[in-house]
Amino acid sequence: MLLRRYLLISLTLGLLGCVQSPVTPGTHHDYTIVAENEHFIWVRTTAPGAQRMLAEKLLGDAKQQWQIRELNPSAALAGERLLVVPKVPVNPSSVFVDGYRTIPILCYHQFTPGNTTSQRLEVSAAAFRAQLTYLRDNNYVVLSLDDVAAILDGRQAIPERAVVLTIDDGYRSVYDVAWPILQEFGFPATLYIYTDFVGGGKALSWAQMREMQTTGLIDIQSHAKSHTSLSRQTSDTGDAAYRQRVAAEVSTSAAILSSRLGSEPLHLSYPYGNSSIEAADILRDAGYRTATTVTRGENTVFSHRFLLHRTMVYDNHTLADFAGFVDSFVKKDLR
Amino acid sequence: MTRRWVRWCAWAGSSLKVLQVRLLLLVALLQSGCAIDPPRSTDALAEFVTVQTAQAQAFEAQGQLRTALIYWMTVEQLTGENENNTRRLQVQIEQLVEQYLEQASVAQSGQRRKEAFLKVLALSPGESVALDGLRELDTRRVVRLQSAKSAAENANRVRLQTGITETKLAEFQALLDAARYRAFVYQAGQLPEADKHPKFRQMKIQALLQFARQLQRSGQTEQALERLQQADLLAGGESSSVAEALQQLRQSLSEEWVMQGISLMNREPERAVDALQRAVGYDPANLVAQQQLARARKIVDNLNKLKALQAD
Repeated sequence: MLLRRYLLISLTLGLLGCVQSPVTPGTHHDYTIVAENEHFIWVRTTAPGAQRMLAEKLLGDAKQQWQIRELNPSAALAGERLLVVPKVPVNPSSVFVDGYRTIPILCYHQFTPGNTTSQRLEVSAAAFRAQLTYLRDNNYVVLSLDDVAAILDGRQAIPERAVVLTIDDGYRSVYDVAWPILQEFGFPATLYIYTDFVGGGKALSWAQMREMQTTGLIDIQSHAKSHTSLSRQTSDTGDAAYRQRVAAEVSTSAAILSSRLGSEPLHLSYPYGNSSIEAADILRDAGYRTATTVTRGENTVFSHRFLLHRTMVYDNHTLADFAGFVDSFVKKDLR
Repeated sequence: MTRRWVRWCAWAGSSLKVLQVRLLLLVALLQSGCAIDPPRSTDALAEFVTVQTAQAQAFEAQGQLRTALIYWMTVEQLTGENENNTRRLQVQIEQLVEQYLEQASVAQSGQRRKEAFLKVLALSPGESVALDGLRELDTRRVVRLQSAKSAAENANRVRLQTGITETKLAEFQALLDAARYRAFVYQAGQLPEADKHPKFRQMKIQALLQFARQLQRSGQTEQALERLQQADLLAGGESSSVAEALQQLRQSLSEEWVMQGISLMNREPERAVDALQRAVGYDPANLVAQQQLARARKIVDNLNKLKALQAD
């Protein structure tokens, strides 16, 4: 009875054009919209943690709070204050007169519990935790590859400190070691799986992948089918044969991932990081959004989306090395 | 007493319902954003305008025109002022963008072009000419990197498959440099997979070609031909120097067999036919060989007819 009355009142108000909307001037629970134009929304608030709350409510993504922070650098942290919220990225190119922002994409493979490793491609739990602590303490925004695609599309800008975490192959240690640590920090990561490996001795199972995927923190994408190089080989007899080989690796892996995990992959990492412009074209035609190599370098808004750079993280890298890997601003005087 | 209690309860119940409805109405109004606007704090507005204006001025002084423009825009709508500031900056930015795009179009190097395009984006982030230009430059750079990586890896794979290491390659190069072609060909014959190594294959083609010339000079033309055919097969028919040498040798061999055929024509016409057939085989375009072969065949044919008549 009461619920019916509440719904009736809400409906009546809605019909009068006063429905709750983030862009409707007026008072909301935590903030009041003072004014709005095509670029900005001006908001009065007393709420603590207003930047995060406004990003969530007005921009639809708490991760975008850095955009509000950047535009209101001297805003008081408490008490009543006026804040301006950008409706669209203020600087989608992320290029400034003193340099430009980049997106470091890190590449991990295997993890070990404790603090020892036995091979180069392994990172210990202790080292991984220290690296994520560094990211958290230095206010890094850990982006997903969908965020990267949105940045390359010009729909998002690069945060002041951004990084992407990716893990290749699909070793079981991701489930046993890395995932609990990622959950602890609430950082998203992308797992690139080559489907021939799944279910093997040291590999993840489909059930483990589904479990990690449901948390929303782990995004599972393609690392092709058999982990053969997708660059042109001396054994590829001609252009057509090469293209056919790459297309088969990509489409078979996509079909398996789709049937096992319920979603088509949209991002791919090239086995051994080996690619070519032809392989990039095949991915574009197949509807992929990004692809990554293992060549170190800058990822900017003007990078080729199917030849993105990644930095491998090895067991012998120190925290100082790591800090260098995630340095995401290239200084350049552009005045 | 009981009746009074019941009446009191009924009154309390209806009052509670009214209260609930009033409360719900208030909640719904608040949630719908249509509640009465709370008193506007001029302090917050004044502070905001002061801070944003100071930011705009500071950025402008540092030459960060785009950022300054954004800050001016954040106060323009609220105060109804500063329109001149935004317009002034917009004009200044447009002029600079034009200037940098011009610099990019005449830039002699990729580095200069990149810098000019970056300057454009620092002022006008959505400028498509600059974005496309930077994308093109970046793509070229990454494709170059990937191609080099791929070539190096292919070379490494080939090295592992063929057993041709850099040292081995240097040893064979030394044989080539010393004109020891026979030794090269003999030693290469001991490495069955070596022909898959692209650089080694090229070296071996050269060795076979030079070895064939040596053989030809010493009169061993048939052996020379065999080596040249081997070189041609290895080159996949794509070496013009091998093809040319092969053609010259075939012509030369064809001429030799024509001479042989002519000299045998009257004495041993059947052997002459054999010789001339070989001449045509080496060089099917040799007209003299074809004519002489026809002639020799006619002689043999006539002789056969004569023999048949004699037998009758």
